Formats: sequence, structure tokens, C-alpha cells
Amino acid sequence: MSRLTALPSGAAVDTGALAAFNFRDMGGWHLLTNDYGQFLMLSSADFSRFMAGKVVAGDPLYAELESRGFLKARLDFKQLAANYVKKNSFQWFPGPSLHMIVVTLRCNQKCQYCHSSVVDPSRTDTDMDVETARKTVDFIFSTPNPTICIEFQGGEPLLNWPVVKFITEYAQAKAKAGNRKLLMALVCNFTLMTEDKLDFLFDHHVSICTSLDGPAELHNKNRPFLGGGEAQQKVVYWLEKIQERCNADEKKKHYLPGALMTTTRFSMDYGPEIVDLYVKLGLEQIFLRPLSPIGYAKRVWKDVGYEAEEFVRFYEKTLDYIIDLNVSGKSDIMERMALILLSKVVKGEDPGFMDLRSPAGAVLGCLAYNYNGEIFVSDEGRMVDHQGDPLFRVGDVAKSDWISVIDHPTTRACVSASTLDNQPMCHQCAFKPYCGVEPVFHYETQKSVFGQMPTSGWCVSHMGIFDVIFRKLRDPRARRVLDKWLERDQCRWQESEAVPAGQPEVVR
Amino acid sequence: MILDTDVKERSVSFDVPKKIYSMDALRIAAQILAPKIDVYLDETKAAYEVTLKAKRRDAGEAQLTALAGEFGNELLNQEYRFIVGRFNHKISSLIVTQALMAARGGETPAEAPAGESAPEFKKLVADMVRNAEAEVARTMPKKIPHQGTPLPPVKEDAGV
Repeated sequence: MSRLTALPSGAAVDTGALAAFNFRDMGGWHLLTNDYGQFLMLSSADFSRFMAGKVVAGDPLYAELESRGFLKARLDFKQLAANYVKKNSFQWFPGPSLHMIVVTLRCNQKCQYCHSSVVDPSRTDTDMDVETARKTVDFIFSTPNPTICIEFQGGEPLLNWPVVKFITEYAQAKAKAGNRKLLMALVCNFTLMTEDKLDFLFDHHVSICTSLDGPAELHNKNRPFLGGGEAQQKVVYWLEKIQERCNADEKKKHYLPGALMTTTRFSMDYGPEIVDLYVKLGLEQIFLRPLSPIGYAKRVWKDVGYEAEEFVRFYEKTLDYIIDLNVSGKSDIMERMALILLSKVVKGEDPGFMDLRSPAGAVLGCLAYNYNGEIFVSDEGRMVDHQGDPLFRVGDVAKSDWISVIDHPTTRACVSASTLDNQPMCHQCAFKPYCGVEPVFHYETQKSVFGQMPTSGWCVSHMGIFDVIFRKLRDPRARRVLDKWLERDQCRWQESEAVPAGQPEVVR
Repeated sequence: MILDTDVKERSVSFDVPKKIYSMDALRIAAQILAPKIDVYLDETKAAYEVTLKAKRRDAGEAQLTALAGEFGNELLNQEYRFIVGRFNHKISSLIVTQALMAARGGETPAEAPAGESAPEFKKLVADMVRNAEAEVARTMPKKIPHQGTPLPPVKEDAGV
């Protein structure tokens, strides 16, 4: 069943006056968008007038429709093309910038939902060796993008600490030799962090991100240690410790750690408590992310999963709570998903989020490297391989060059399948200019890289989130908060852009 | 769609008009649903005759009807995808080509920077490799032989 909205039957339409656009009935008002990323929120009465071609020169609405490219006879192609290029800048990017390296599959936690298809700490056969690490970095630097971001993932990357150190130092030496811009990030569970490791990460400008699902009872239920024990206390300890060190040194202010949460069924009743913990820990952002039925999560979906509609309800309720905190002045914490969508919608810019692009970021924007040197279109693609299906494997650092990866049939299939103009439903959707589909997600859930949008959980949750965000944009109280978030985010990027090539930089 | 179910054979049959649906769409739908069903095709002048045989041994009337519905949805999705693809062919080809060609970064891969062939750089890297290997040997648990993929493939109906 389509979730698109239709015109009322018998509605007058003057097709000769209307430029190409999509629309959505938001209940009492209509949202209009076009491929240039422009949008308008019209009362239903104004929408009817517009559709009937009754908005004429001199009408206050006319100028707005004209400037945003909704009037066929008044299109400013130069400006609209510039808007398109700004919003879709990634279509002109010379290869991927994000390179995720899985330095080991081993992990000391047994998370309920683990996406990463990890193995027991005894499985040292899944550690990346130094030679493979070197070849991986060489491959990464053979890709053409002048900006390279290396992200350590796992398993738990700190279980293979010597290789993390090696990759960091080798990549930085290569960035210096080749005058490339390099950013490095470590995603770890903090349970194996030490002062020495932290010193190294600070000294080498590696930003740090961890997983924090919420209060102890929730976090420890979602992310237990192998063999039992409480993981959340360690996460909180190191978050506080790192913040203390960052706040004590002006030079380290950019290194403030980030945290990511994953929403399970158990999280649904904890929205405000999760936010409160993030606020208490002084975290700048919270990212309300849905769980994907990929990897181990697919096996336990009946226990930890939920319907996409349930996630949207959780998202809206929790976002409302965050906005209330901002309005009341109790906190200025930002919600990351909202910020990503606002960058696209309000600023007409691409915030670099791989999943919501057309085409998607698979290979074009990111690559994932397994411990054994195999190259995948994304980390999710690696997880599918881990379960015995190599469809998303596009190379090997020991044998492949960049051209063979970008020319790989799977790469082409992913790019084609995630171009929304090829997608039933998406091509008519009002959220198309800002949305994206993920081929691996749909392959896992619907057995096809194209997916089936009318029954896709991806589509339900993303359309739901877009509905929430556009409703907030129409609410003056929420809009003030969202505008402030965008302003703060802009300042952050300006600071980041100022770092010259060849110098290590911090991912934020 | 008129369904003819045979619970004993775990099969459901129906006709698909050739005027609306293509053989390509039928084949893709069959491929997508292959984990759940075997698909048998025959044809008359005006229609494809489709028979789905459920792989689950306990499939009853309700499951067979649901499978036929699922197949019909996928068939419609694929046929409509062809229509959308044809309708938007020019713009989508342009976007896909632009993105792939830009990502390619030109016909020939860039040479390694000159700085990397300098003896000092080579020595630096050799030292790094040596130190890292020494640290692995000193601090890491002994590497065991490869044990193979730890997980068997996920079974169908995992609740997703």
C-alpha cells in the first residue's frame, strides 16, 4: 500500500503553469518539494489555488513559488542548478572519503542486537595482521578523494590495539607524504580503554566515539559483557574521564567524545531517561537510531526488534522531550538525525550521511575493509558476507585496485538501485530530494537490492521521521530550536574546514 | 487474481496477463521469493500460468494464499519499476553515470606521491611495520588457524 498522498478527486490542475514537483498532504497543509531541494509549506487553500494556476503575479505567494522553482514559466535555471549541485555535491565526489576498517571481529561484549557479526575473544584468527593493515592503508590512499576519513570498527578494535596504532601512524605518514587531508576516528566500547591508549589517541588526533544505550539497566541489558558483568559503568567512567581531559586543555576541545545509541524494543520506554543521561554526561548530541534487522539482530528480531511505526512514535516523543529541554534552557543537546535532515532541507546541503543519498554512499562515499583485507560496499555489506553471502564483496586489498572496485558489477547495481528516480514510489515522494534507500538493508529484509518500497520498513521509518521534522519546521517554538542547532552545526564545520591538507584532523 | 490452491501439493496457481506483466518481471519476482517457493511457469497466448510450490512443508490454505499475494506484490513492484525506469531513464542514467565517473577519478589511477619513494619514507615505514609486528608478538594472544565462518546462514521466517 502506497503511503503517498493523492489530490482530492476533482481537484483543478493547471498543468501548463506547474513546474515538476512532488507534494504531500500533511493534514491541513501541503508540503511541496522539487529536485532542486526547494520546499514550501502551503495551507491547503493556497495549495488548491496553486494547483489550479490561480496564483498570479502580484500575489505574495507568487514570488515565493517563483524563487523556489515551482512555476514552469519562471524557472531561473542557473540558480536552481546551483541549488541542485550544492544539495547533491556527493554526485561530483572523486571516490569514497569514509573508510571503515574492521581490525578484528573479536569482541568482549555480546550485544543483543549486534550488527557487526562479532566473534568470541578467543577467535584470534579474525585479527587483522600488520601486512593486511598496510595493504589496506595503501588501497585507501589509492582512492582518488583528497579527503580520507579512516574509522576503526570491530568487533572491539581495542582488542587489536597494535594494529590500530600501526594504521594510525602509517596513514598519517602517507597523508603527509601525499598532502592528503586525513581524519581518524575510533568506535569502541570503552571497556578496554587505558590512559596509555588515550594518550596515543589524543597525540595522534584520533576522535573517539562509543556506544551508550542509556541508563545502566537498559545499557547492560542491550550490551552485556561476555560472561556477565556491567558494561555501562565503564562507558560512563571513560566518557567523563575523556571530557575532563578535553575540558582541561584548550587544544583538546575538539576531541570531546561522541556516543551512539541503538534503539531496541527495551529502549522504547526509556526515551527521556536516555536523553537525561546524555545531558548529564555533557554530550553535545544524541542520535536516535533505529535498529536494523542485519547481522545478529536479524536472528533475534522477535526479541529486540519492533515495527517501523513504533520507532517513529519513539522518535517523535523523544525529540519533543529534547526540544522541550532546549526551550526551557535546561540543556542545548541536539538530535543528530534531525540535524542531518535539517541540513538537507533548510540549508540545501549534504551533511555527509551515507544512507540518505541518491545514489547511496555504498562505494561512492564509503568502503568497509574486513580483517582479512576483503573490501565491501559498506559495513552492512560485510555483515551479509559474514553470514555466508558474498554479494557485497567488491574486492580485496591484496589483489584489487580502485578501478576494479568502482567498476565492479555489485557497485553498479547498488548505485543504480539506490537512485531514487529508478524507484517506484520514491520518484513521486515529497521527501525524495532529501531521502535515500540502502541496497544492503533491502537485500537483507526484502531479498532485492531495489527493495519494495510500499512494504519497506526503511521507507516507513524514514517517511515517518520526515513527517515529524516538517511538522516541527511549521511549529514556531520548535523551529527556533532547530534553527539554533543548524547555526551551531555550521560553526563546527567552519572550524573543521580550516584544517589544512596533510595535517591530521579530528572527526566530530 | 483467481487462485487455485492445492494444499496436498502445497501449491497455488493463477494466471498473469501478458498485456500487463513481462517475463522479466516474473523471473525477478521468482528469484526474490526463491527462498520460500519454487515457481513453475507455463503460458497461453494471453497469459502466463504461474504455479507456486511452497518450500515449507506445513503450508496450508492461508499460507498459500499469502504467498500468492506476496508474489503478486513483488511482480507488480518489478513491473512498475520497469515503467518508472523507462519514464525516468534519461535523468537516472545521467545521475548514475555522473556519480560513477566522478568517483572513478579519471581513467588511470593516480601515481603514488613522490614522497613515498624517498629512502627516508621507506625506512620510516619499515620501522613502523617492524615495531607493530614486535608489539603484536609481545602483547597479543597467539593467533589461531582460521576457523571458518562462525555463523550458519540465517533461516527464513526469522521474524523480520
